[in-house]
This record gives sequence, C-alpha cells and structure tokens, in this order.
Amino acid sequence: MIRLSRMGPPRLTFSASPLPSSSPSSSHFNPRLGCLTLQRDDATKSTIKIATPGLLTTASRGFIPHLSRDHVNSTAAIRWVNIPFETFLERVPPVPTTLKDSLHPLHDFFKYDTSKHIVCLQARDPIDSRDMPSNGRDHLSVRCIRGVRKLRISDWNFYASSTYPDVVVALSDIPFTPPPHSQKRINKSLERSTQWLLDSLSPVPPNPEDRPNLLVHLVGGINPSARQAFSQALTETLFGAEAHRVKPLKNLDDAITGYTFDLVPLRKALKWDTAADNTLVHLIQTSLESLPFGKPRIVNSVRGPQDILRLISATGVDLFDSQWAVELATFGVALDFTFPVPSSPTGPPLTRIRDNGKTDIGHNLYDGKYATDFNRLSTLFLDGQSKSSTPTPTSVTATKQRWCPCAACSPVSPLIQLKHSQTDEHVPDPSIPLEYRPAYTRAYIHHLLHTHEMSAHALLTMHNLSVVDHFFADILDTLERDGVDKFVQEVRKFRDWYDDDVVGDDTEDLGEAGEVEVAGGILGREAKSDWVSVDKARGKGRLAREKEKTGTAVLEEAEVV
Amino acid sequence: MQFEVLATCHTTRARVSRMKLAHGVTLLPTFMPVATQAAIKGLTAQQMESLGVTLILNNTYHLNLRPGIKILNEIGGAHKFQGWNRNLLTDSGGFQLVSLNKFTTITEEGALFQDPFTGEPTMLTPEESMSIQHAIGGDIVMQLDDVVPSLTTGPRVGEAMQRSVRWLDRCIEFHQKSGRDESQNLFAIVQGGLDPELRKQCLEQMVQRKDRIAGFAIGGLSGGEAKDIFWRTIKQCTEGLPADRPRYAMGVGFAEDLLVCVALGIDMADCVFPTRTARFGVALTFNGPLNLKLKKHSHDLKPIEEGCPCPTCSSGTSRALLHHTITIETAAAHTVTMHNLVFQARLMGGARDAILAGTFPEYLRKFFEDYYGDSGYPQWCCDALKSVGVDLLEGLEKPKVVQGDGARWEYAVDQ
Repeated sequence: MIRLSRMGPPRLTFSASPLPSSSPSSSHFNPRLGCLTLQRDDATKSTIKIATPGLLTTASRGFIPHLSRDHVNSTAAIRWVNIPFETFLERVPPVPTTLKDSLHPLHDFFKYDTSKHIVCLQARDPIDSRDMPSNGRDHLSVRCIRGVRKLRISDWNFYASSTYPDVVVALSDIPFTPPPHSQKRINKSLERSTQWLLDSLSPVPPNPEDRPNLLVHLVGGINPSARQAFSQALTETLFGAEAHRVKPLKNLDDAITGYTFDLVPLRKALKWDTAADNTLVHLIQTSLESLPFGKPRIVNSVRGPQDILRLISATGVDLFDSQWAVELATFGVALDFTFPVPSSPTGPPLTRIRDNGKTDIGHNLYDGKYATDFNRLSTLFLDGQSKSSTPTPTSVTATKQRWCPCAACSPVSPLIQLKHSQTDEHVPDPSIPLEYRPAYTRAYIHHLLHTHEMSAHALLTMHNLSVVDHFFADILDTLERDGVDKFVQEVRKFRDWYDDDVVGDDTEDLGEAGEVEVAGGILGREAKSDWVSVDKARGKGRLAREKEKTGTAVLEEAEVV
Repeated sequence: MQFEVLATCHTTRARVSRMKLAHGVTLLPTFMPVATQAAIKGLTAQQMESLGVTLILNNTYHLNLRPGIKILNEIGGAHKFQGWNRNLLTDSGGFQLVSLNKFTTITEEGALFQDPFTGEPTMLTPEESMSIQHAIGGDIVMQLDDVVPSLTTGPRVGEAMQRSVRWLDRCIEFHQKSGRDESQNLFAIVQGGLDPELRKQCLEQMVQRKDRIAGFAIGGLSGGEAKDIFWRTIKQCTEGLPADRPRYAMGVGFAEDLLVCVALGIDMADCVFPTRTARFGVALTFNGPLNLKLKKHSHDLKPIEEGCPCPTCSSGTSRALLHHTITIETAAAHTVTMHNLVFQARLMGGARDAILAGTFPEYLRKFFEDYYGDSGYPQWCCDALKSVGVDLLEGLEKPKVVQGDGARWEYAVDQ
C-alpha cells in the first residue's frame, strides 16, 4: 500500500467547468477551464493554485535542467514538478527515502518550496523512449546510469510512501519492448496495471482525506478496445476478494485523483500501426469516455504548441509537460510565439518564415545572423525595462502588451548580496525598489552558445518556460473571453501560421533511432543540428573548421587581432 | 582609480585596502573569479552580484576572437554585453597567445601568431592589445607582456623581462594618448621568471614608471614551479613594489596559496580553479576540498559546509543530492560553482576582517589547522609565513609537516 503521510497528504482538488460549443461532438472532450488547488495542512497552511490548461515541469535527477535553485524559485512558471525516481535506484537505499525526520522529504531533499511547488513522484522518466526489457509480474524495468534495474512493486510502494510526495503516479505495466505488441501482451498489461493499482491501494484508509493523491496511467496501448476495457474496469463496482482488499472503496476510480498519459510509448507503437484512423486524439478519447468529467487529465511528452492545442481542443486535457521547451533551450532556441497568432507585431524582427509559408516559433540563436542582434530574446514579449518602472517579476500580469518575466528578459538587481567582511560596501539598500536591468541580448546568447557557456541554457530555459506559461495564460484567456468556437478558429489560424510540424502526422514524430523528435519543426531540427556540430567542434583547430562553414563573416572579426 | 590602504597587519605584510573604480568599490585583498568568455560558467551576472562579488576577469584573447571588437564596440563594451555592472579586469591576451598557440613567435614589434580562424600570420602588438582592451572597456587593463613558461631557463627569460619593460612603455604611451586612462587603469606585469636577479631588475625599472601606472601584477608564476620558489618570488616582488599601488598575483587560486600571498602583501588574485574544480565535482570547504563524486557522500544529507551563506549551503542542498547529480546535470555544476566562489570570497573577506581587527596571524593559524591539521602542514607554507613572522606550528605538539606542494585533495579513491 501507499501509506498516508505523517501529516495526512496535502489536499489536491480540481474543478473544471465544461465550456459550451456549437460542435456536435461530446462536451466531455471540449476544451475546459479548471483550477488545480493544493492545500497543505501543515504549519505553513500554504495553498498552490494552477489554472488549467497549464504547464508542468519534469526534473532530471531531481533538477529542472540547467536551473540552479534560485532560478527555479524565481521562475513563476514552475509550479508542478514531476520527479522521476528511477535514477535513485543506483544506490540502496534510494537516498530520498532516507530523510526520516522530514515532513516533506522530497521538497527538502530536492529543495523545492512547499509554498510554491507541487511535487509529483513517478517511477520513470516520461521522455525516455529507449527500448527496455519486459516488465515482470512483480517488477517494472527501470533505467539508471549504470543500466537497467528491476523495480519491485512492493519496493515502489514503500518508496512512494516513505517520501510523502504531494502526488504519486501509480505504477503501470506499459511495455517498452519494441512494438508491435501482441493482444496477449496488451491483456497482460491491463491485468498487471489493475493488480498493481490494487496493491498500492490496499489497505485503504477509512478517511478519504488520508488517501494519497494518486494519478493513474490510462493504459491499453494503441488498442482502442483495450483502452476502453481498462477505463471501464476502474469504474466497475468491485466484488469479492478485490472489494475486500480495498474496502471501503466501491470501485478503483474512487481512489484516483487524476488521469495521466505518456505520449512516448503511444507514438512509438503508432509508428508501427497501419490503421489510419488510429490517432492519439482517438486513443485518449477512448480512455476518457467512460470516466468522470471532473478529474484532471495530464499529458507528458507533448512535442510543442500544436500538439498542446490539438489535445486541448479535442480531448480537454488540463496539464501538459514542458520538456519540449526545455529541450529547445538546450538546443539554443529562444521561443517567440503567441496565441492567438500576432496581428500587427512591432518591434525587433520577427521569427523566420519558412519556404512552406509558415513562421518559426522561436529563434535558433546559433544562427550567425544573431551575432549582431542586440534585441531582447522575444519580439512579441516586452522585457522588464521596456515594460514599466514598477517590477512584479514573479508573475505574468495581464497587461495588453505581453511581457516576459524571465531572468533573461527582465533581470532584476539582486535582492540579497552576500557580505564577506565588515568593510564590504556593496550591500543593497532595501529601501531602494527593485530595478530592472537591461535584457540579455540575442547577440550575447549567440556568443555563449558558440563558446559552450552553460549560462546560455539557463537563460533560455527560464525564458522558454515563461513563454510557454504565457501561452497557456493566453489559451485560458481566449477560452474564457471568446468561448470554444472562437478558440477553435484561433487554433486553426495558429496551425496555419506556425511551423511546428513535428506532430502534423501522428506516425512521423519518431526519429530513426526511436528517439523522440525535437519540437519546433524545421527550426528545432536546425537548432539541434547546430548544437551537435558546435559540440563536435570542440578542441584544437575548431575555430578554423568553423571558418570553413561560415566563410567571410568570421574572417572580418578575426582581422582585428 | 582611488586606492587607499585602510589597515596593515602588525605582523605580516598583509593589508586591507579600498579600491574605487568606475564600476564601484572593491575591498582588497580579494579573489577575482574568471569569466573567460564573458560569463562565469553557468551563472548570470545577477547571480554573481548576489554572491557579493565585485570584480571579475574577462580574457582579452578570447573576447577578441568572439564576439570580436566590432560587436563589443557596437554594444558599448563588455560590461553591457554581459550585463555586468560591477568592476571588470581584462588581461592582455599575451598569456593565451603562448599557452594556446604552438606557433607564436615573439618579435620586438609584438607577438606573431597564427590566426586561429584563418591560419594566417597575425601580429598582436602592445598598442593593439591596448586598443582591444579599450573596446572591451575593463576597469583594469593589463600591459602586453612577453610571457615565457614559468620553468624556462637561460637568456630567453632575461630577454622576455626586458622586452616586457619596453612593451610596458609602449602600452603606457598608447593608453595615455587614447584618453582612456581616466576610466581604465593600466597595470604593469613584473616578469623575470624564477631568477631573483632578473626580478630585481624588472622591479626597479617598472617601479620607476610608477606615476604612470595604476597597479602592479606579478606574472610568470603558477606555471608548475616549486612552491618554495613561488613564495620567495612573490615575497621579493611585494617587497619591491610601492605600498600605494595594488598588487596582483596572476593565476593564484588555491586557498593556501591565496592566504600565503595575502600575508606576503598581495591584494588581488585570479584563477579558474574554483569554477573549474566545481564542474569536476570538487567543493571547497574550510576543512579541505570535498570530492562529491566519492561514494561516501551518497547518503550524506549535510550541506557542503555548515554555516556557509552561499545559496547552495544556506538552502540546505545536501552532499547526497550533489553526489547524485554532479558531472551529469549542468545545474549541479552551477550549484557547486556558486558555493566555491563564495568560499573564495569568504576566505578573503575573513582575511580582511582579521587584518582590520589585528588578528590576521590567528586567522592564518586557524585556517591552516582546519585545512591541514589532519593531513599535515605543507612545509612551504610554514616557511613562507615564518618569513613574515607567523609560526604556524607554534604551540603544537608533534605537528605533522609534509613536503612538496601540499595541495590537499580528497583523491578519487572510493571506499
């Protein structure tokens, strides 16, 4: 079983209001507005709210990639953090399970803020698409730095209970063996997933408030009837021994807080599937059809804004992971797009328009043309200095002109400066209000990327997360103000405007090696290839090699010597 | 530059000074973190400022290649380019010409080297170096010197020293004519290798030019020479340099080296060591460096150092978490980098306070006891400090003293 936390778990509630539309499809899958609220009953009594549709972030070995703690804390977009647990199986006992005296072991160990961050524990990294050995009756195959490990179901239940996560994802038997998967394998997946869920629930605390906040993968692979069967099993009234094990629950769904989907295994399997009508949207709808409306729907490993808009429109998903935007930051892309599409943009040059007539969702800052571009990262978002004089750097305010609160566009003079001796004179005067510093320029980030300076990725990660956060705020705003029909029109316009074709066809988004393809369409692929070549260019003679590629532009710079 | 000595140690040659430059005040002695390519590895300018750092270093050679002078001129200098509004020092580019280029030839005119982009022969003259440093806009600029590897012997060392003096004159000339000498301060670099006689000549000649120079650096060290020669050379130089100018030991960054240098009268030092070693998983503490990659840290929930005010330790980030992430996640490198820079700053800040309070000898004894008490005091540190009146071993029963460099490492031997 997953034991209750020593304080009782924080209360996670969700409210979703269906939005009417003129479309004949069921309102069960319409876009919806909601709010996830987490309330802590501890001394802090803190409440965290996430308006939905919204974003979540996924940690790598516990860290949001590229971000130090102060950057995590100053990035308002980070509210929900998925923590994949598998890498901690490298050491026994897994170290996050050893914080015996802590009320919030995961927050304390990873240094997330209990008043700002909802921490969700899951076994595996949802972006890892690599083939794995098959799972067993009593174990899940997981991956550590030294190879594959078997995670026993009983061990997982112990880890999940001893770390007191805010939210925990139940273990499910999702095959990562190479597709296609036989009917028999899919049946087994359903049986095991249900069995493991029962194991994790039993015995059920009598008081509903003592039960953990539990997310469940809706499994069944790409087989619609299997998906249907799994969902139905969740809401079916339990009998006999099973009913006895999870007394007083009437059915499994009563213990479930929300539903989750990892797109990676689905896409991997869809690649092998020839049935043309078998799409992600269809599979997700099939799973949700028989399940109650009022529980949050969470999707991991989406591949960009088009993917997100499509799933909001057609399946009413509430929370999306943002790994794609962090990955683009790794590849040197500064996001610069809005929803709805920009009408009459002014300011620094817009993103590039491709031969297919579509516009990039950001800037590949590896590109030589940014070497002398002293503009802020995004044309469509003001920087702090140009926005105003009174900073509120932690929130995206609903001003008419969008602005980006990230530490790259709106850096602020530090609140605290350490003093190292009595003589130090640089301690800031607290009576002086926060002051915005000039935004970091594209030229600077371009320089950092070409010189392998990691600061580039930190700045871009914060920027991209902030742009994605604004994207969700705009989606919410459009839905609220203009309703579903107008929203759907804007989604269509967005699809025609922006080049983000990676998800244009459900069967094309996995690369040759089975790797998940980068988001951002042509832009993302170009940036990734530039990233790879700059990375390879390290070492002696590297500048000469680069000169061959870029020609005279670099020569001019060198002549100054 | 306004330079004022606030206090001197009653025993050693250490002193506390206040140096006011165009971008604010920096208290000396201080350690200068190195932002080679206009960024401290993984951090932002605002993060550096929050750590209480007031003076960093950029490398002229690298910034000249990228982003290049044209871009720096367009944006208005390296401060604006990297968003740093505190003090900045640039080196002359001479050191990298020698360390990074196999084919550099020194002529009287300047350093002839192979352009790394084109492969064509290119000349870096003292005037050119000044001009590049003017474009970068550092608050302190360094003369171009004729750098020879520290271990070089023979006539080349003397030749390089004499040429460094001649190049200094050309740098002064160009710098003063440019009108940049109001906001940018030129430092001379004392050369002369490991030869006391050459150092003496260099000191004499350079000190003669004192009125046209804002400060003095000591070059040609930290290149693998014996520590015993290192400290003697530093001592000879600080004794020969005027008291009313800051003194800068180039390339010095180990904690014990820094404190010995401070005791010998050094005010400033720079090194990539604390930031580089952080990326390799080594965290600096007053009880010696920790190799976070060692298995013994895997379940250690303590911070790197109790009481450390850095964002890493004050948030309670554990050695266990860093063990799990260091050398794998870039964010872990940033986290340890911040700690190491704060360690360096505390070490020097503590020295300032102790000098002001008249307790610097005790500060030295306490530091070495904590840092080396278990593994043994390096002989050269004992000798160097004894030469300025501090006996580290005084009152100790059976002190353990070790020969050699004495760098104290938690070696990569896992239990």
